[in-house]
Order: sequence, then C-alpha cells, then structure tokens
Amino acid sequence: MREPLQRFDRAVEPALGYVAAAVLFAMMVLTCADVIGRYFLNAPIWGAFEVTEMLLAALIFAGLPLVTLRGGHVTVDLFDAVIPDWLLRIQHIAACVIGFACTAYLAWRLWLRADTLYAAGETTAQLKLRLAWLCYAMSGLMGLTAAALAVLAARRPHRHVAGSEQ
Amino acid sequence: MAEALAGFAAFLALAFLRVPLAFAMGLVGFVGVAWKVNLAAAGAMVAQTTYETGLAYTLSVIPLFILMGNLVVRARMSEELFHAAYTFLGHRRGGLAMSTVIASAGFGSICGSSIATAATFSKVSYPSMKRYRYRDALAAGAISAGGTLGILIPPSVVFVIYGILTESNIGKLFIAGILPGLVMTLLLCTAVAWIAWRDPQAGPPADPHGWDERLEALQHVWPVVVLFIGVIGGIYGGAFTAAEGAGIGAGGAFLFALARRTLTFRILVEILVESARTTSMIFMILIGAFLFANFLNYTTLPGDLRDFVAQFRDRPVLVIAAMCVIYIVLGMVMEELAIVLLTVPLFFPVVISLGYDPLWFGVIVVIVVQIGLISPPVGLNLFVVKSLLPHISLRTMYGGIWPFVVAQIVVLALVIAAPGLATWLPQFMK
Repeated sequence: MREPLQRFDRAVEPALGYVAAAVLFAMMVLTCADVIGRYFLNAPIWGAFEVTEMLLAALIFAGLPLVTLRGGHVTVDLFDAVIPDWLLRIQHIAACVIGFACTAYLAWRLWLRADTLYAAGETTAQLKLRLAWLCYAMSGLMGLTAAALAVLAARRPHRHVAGSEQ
Repeated sequence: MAEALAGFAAFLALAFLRVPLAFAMGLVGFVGVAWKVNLAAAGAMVAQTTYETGLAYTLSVIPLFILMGNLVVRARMSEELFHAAYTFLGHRRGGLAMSTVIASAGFGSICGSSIATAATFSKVSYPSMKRYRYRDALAAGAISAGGTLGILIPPSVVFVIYGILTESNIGKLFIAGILPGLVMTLLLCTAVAWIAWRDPQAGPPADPHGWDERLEALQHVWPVVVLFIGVIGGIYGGAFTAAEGAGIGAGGAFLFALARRTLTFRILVEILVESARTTSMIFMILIGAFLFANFLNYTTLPGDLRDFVAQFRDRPVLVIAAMCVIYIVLGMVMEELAIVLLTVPLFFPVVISLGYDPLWFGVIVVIVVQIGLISPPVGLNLFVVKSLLPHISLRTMYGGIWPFVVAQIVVLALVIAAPGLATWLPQFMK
C-alpha cells in the first residue's frame, strides 16, 4: 500500500522499535535481577527502583509515536461501518488536527518542565542521574508524536468495521 | 454540576468525532481546569501529570504483565492446557466447549488480557470443536466468554488499572479475583452444559480418554503451574510486590518460550515492540483519564453525587445495582477500558462512602467489564474471535452468546450477595 510520506515511517519505526524493545527487555531483566539479588544473594541492585522508573518513562514515550503511526489509539468507531467516505475523511482530519494540537502543546509544556528541572539541577535520589535529560527526551518524543499525527492527517483514514481488525 | 455535565458532553462530542479517547479526555480536562482555575495552572497540570505518570514505579506492572502475556501466548502453553482439559471432559456433551472454558481459566492464570486469551483459543480449541461438528454458535461463544476469564483470574490488566485509579493494593485485588474466577469458570461450564442439553447437536461427544492419558496430559501443564505459583503465589505470600511479580513472570515466560524454541531474535523484538505499543496506548488513555478526573474534582459533581447517594444509605445495594445496570448498558455500546477510566474515579468514592470494600468493588468492576466484552452489539471479545474466525457470522455469534452473558450476570449477583467471595482470600495477606 502506498501512503504519502512513507519515508517518515521508515525513519521512525525501526529505530524507535529497537529502542522500545531494548528498554522493555532491560526492565524485565532488571526487575528479575533485583528480586533474585535480594532473596538469594542478599544484595538488591543499588538504584534499581529509579532506573526502572526511568526505563518506564522511556518505554511509554518511545512507544507513543509507534502506536500513533499504526492508528492504535482507542477510538470510538461505532459508526465507521455506516458513515460515507467524505465524512470519515473530515472526521479523520479533524481528529488528527486536535491530536496534533494536544501533543504539540504537551511537548512544549514538557520542554518548559525540563528547563525547570535543569535549572534546579534535579537528580534521582540514589544514582544522581539528571532528570532534566529524561524530560527533554519525553518532550522530543511527544513532539515526534505530534509530527506523526500531522503525517497521518495527510493519509486516508482506516475504517474500523466490527470484526475486521487485526 | 453543570460544568461537569458540559465536560462529559464535550468529551462525547470529541469521541464521536473520532478523536482518540486519550486526547478527548485530556483536552476536556485541560480546558476545564483552565476555565475553573486559570490557564497557567492547567498548563502546569498537564506537564506534571504526564511526567509523573511516566515515572511512577508501581506502573511498571503494566508493561511487564503485558509482556508476560505476549510471551506465554508465544510459548504455546495454551495447547497443553486445552489438551489436558480435553482428555477429562471431551467425551461429554459440550465437553470440548467446557474444556475451552477451563483451559481459558488456566491460561488466564498466567495471562492478564481477555483479548489475548480469546485470540489464543480461537486458534487452539476451535479446530477440535470444528472436527467434532460443534455448532459455531457454541464454539465461538465458549471462546469469547472463556477469554474474559483472562481478566478476572490474576494476573489482570483491568485489576491493575483499577488499582492505579483507586490507589488500592494491586496484589490484594489479584487475590480477590481468584474465587470469583473459579465460580465464573464453573458457571460458564454450566452454560455450556445447558446449551448442549437443550440442543444435543450443538456439542456432540468426542472420543473418551483413559486415566493414563489424562495423567500424562496433566504432566505437561507444569510450566503454567510453575508460573502461576511463582508469580501469584509470590505476591500472595508477600515475597514480592505486584510490579516485581510481573517482572518475574515476564522473565519466567521468556525462559519457557526460549526453552521451547519458539523464540527467534526477530520474534522476540516483535513481541517486545508489540508490548511497548500496547503499554503506550494504555498510558496515554490513563494520563487523559487523570486529567479529566482532575477537572471533575474542581466541579461539584463528586460532592453532588455523594449527596444524592446518601439518601440510599439504608439500602446501599440499590446504588450498587444501579451502577451495575449503568455498566452493563454502557458495556453494550462502549469500549471497556474507557468505561472503567471514566466511571471508576466518580463511582469509587461513592461506593466507599457507603461502606463497601474497595477490593470487592474492584471485582464487581471487572465482572461488569467481562459482561461488556461479550455483550452485543459492541463486544470486543466477540470482534476478536470474529476477526480470527471470519467465516462465523456476527449474527451467529450474537445468537450463541447470551447463555454466557446470563451466567456472568449470575456471578455478578452472587458476588454482590456474598461479598466474602471477593474479600475472604485477601484478608490472609500481609
């Protein structure tokens, strides 16, 4: 299927996919290692708690452009089976524009927050990791999600009809 | 009150415009707070909520349980479960459908998603039922309804989300689901028996198996038992938290999948990315719901609702019954995750003010979600089964599902009448 701006997907999907996969795998290994260390070696991993938190944030935000590009957000699609093409198209563009506004605004607010964290020199409690960098990354990935929504607006909407998914 | 209703109306308008629910809820929450307080506060709130939800340790339970579920699907443990149940029950009328329900319950004990469970058994048990000429209505009904056991029997993504919304102990919620889950399994089997008794052609008997075959088949189920005892037993015994249990479960499922040579590097990456996508989707809608709930807390709605309900203080069960009716009606036409996220922040304080147990209400919410998942016309589990078995018409599925819906409503009534079903087991936890 040829869609406009395929180059965007090719640039974003594999890279972010590997990042998200690596982050989730690391989370799993870290949690197991922490529990095993605590019970069998009497040595929990130092800072595991806060690294897990940071991995979680990285995972959610790296996955966000991916789920957006696939049209994977939960949407009310009760009427998809009956509405005409032109109306679906208008709905789709309106929804993408609203989504773009939300995500772009959020990216900007997260950036401001990162600036504050940077200025205050906020770090995690144990490992002293700078939280500002994580927040800048969150902002960047939110911005990428906004870009993905802009790209989606140029594409044809996917009709969700009962039972035709997957 | 009026602002809150305007908020709900705006949310519905956006939702029907096909705006993703996460953005619709978040946007209304943002505009609402900007209106009630000011723009600066609303802007700070969205950044704060998004940032803190992303960095909340307890929420790591979500991606890890999703990963565990996706790994056990790949490790093909479902086949052994179904085979074991089949050797015991296959020779009875409707026995293969009962086996599907029981195997789904077993699978639900290591997988927290109803969709994954229903999808799995569409592939695993349908071919056997087809071979023995089961009617499609019964086969599809048993698979769809059995799949919902995935969220009542722990682990369960819905319990996790309820726990996060209400700040209840996720481990205790899991344990609260066990007994109702067993009762539900029994009643769904009863529904099968009733269908097969009414129409013997619906589920003809299959070949009988001897005890040697049964014991042999049972031995192959050990990985499921190990995972369940390891994860849920560990949480129950207080050895680790739900988040840690999820990590251990994912790690264990990974090792089993590896040992069974069902994983290549490519497949592993695929599973991880798929789990990451689901996680992001859930978190976005979670953040949206938090923003929406923030706005509602600035309105008079929560207080008004509590005042309204206070007049039923001596007959609180009426309130619960009314809520269940609302849930069942909403469940017929709406997506279940959205229903939980929209209603639980509103209903929970009311239910608690009436003196009910938070764990018990969690079980009620999960059961009404289960009912919603299989009640026509919009039942997510029905759609999942339909998409995997495209030759079965939705009409056939709608016709075959109602005995199962009735069975679930009976379980709902039982849990309301006997709250101990939900609250007895968790009280032994530390």
